[in-house]
Amino acid sequence: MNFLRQVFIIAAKDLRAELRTKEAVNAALAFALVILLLFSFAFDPSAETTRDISGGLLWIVFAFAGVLVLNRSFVRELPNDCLDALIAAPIPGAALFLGKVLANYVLVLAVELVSLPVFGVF
Amino acid sequence: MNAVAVEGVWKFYGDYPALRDVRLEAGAGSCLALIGRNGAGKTTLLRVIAGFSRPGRGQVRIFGDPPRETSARRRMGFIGHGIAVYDELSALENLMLYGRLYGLADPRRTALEWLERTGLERVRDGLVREFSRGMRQRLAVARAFLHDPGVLLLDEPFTSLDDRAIAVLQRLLREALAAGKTVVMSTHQLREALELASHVALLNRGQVAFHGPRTPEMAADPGLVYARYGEGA
Repeated sequence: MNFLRQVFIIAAKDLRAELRTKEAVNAALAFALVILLLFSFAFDPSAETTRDISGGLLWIVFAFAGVLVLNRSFVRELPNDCLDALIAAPIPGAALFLGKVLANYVLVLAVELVSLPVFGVF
Repeated sequence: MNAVAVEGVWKFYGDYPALRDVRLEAGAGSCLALIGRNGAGKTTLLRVIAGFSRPGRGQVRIFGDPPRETSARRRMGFIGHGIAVYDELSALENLMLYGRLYGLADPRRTALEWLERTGLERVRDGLVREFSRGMRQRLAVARAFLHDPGVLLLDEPFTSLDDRAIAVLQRLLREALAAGKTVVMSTHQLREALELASHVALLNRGQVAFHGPRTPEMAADPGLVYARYGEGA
């Protein structure tokens, strides 16, 4: 079977499961918005220094939101031993890994799309 | 060539040997019942055979290949303690997912066929998280059989099943054996297992205490193997 097709099967499965529960996206989004709000209290948005470090602050938010999404995507595999079934399936580990990367990328992108305008407002 | 060959396998958890020089084989069309008390090493052995766990020493072969080889994985179906289906997906979506991963020609048709064979066709679009324990176990059975594997590794397959579901599973296993598939199953439900088994292996503290053909006496008296070869026999 085509390697890319295997990657998309894994990614589609992760995205479909996430869309049903929205656990990871909701947690990551709530986290991102709260941190952005806290940053707006902690720093003076009009100060020159704040403008200089704002890019870094935004990446910190995205990085931690990404960790939340990534964590959830592997936690989902554990309760019913689904990871065993994926490992037993005749697909390379790289397809499994890249499928998860793709699904996580899409989910983090969704979080970024919502939190970026909020960052602009704050 | 044996469908499953376990050659001098040792497995250590820290310093504790969970498996000690285990040697077993199962030919095509045979059903090996792995029996033993809790902690005897049945699940560990099945996980080593399935390739989920690497042996400390020794080796396992599935149709001559190591279990981690793609060719071996394609020919293996596994039911473990977990049902290995996703709670957030429907029964049909779960089976179609595995059908696609195993490269089936028509995953939807095959999934629907197995949902019907396991009596789950009415709930095919229901999310697995809403299923009863027995329904989840039947779905696990469908998942394991879906890609028509040559070797079925079953860890406590009758657990959580009601009488009707046990009969369904026994029928499926008989059909698989008649079609030349190999079944290796661990179980505490001796009566059900010994009805199907062609061979029996008794594990005592990680060692094979008995391995041989299942005799009519064993089927008639499921406790016979424990009485003759078990601890304290």
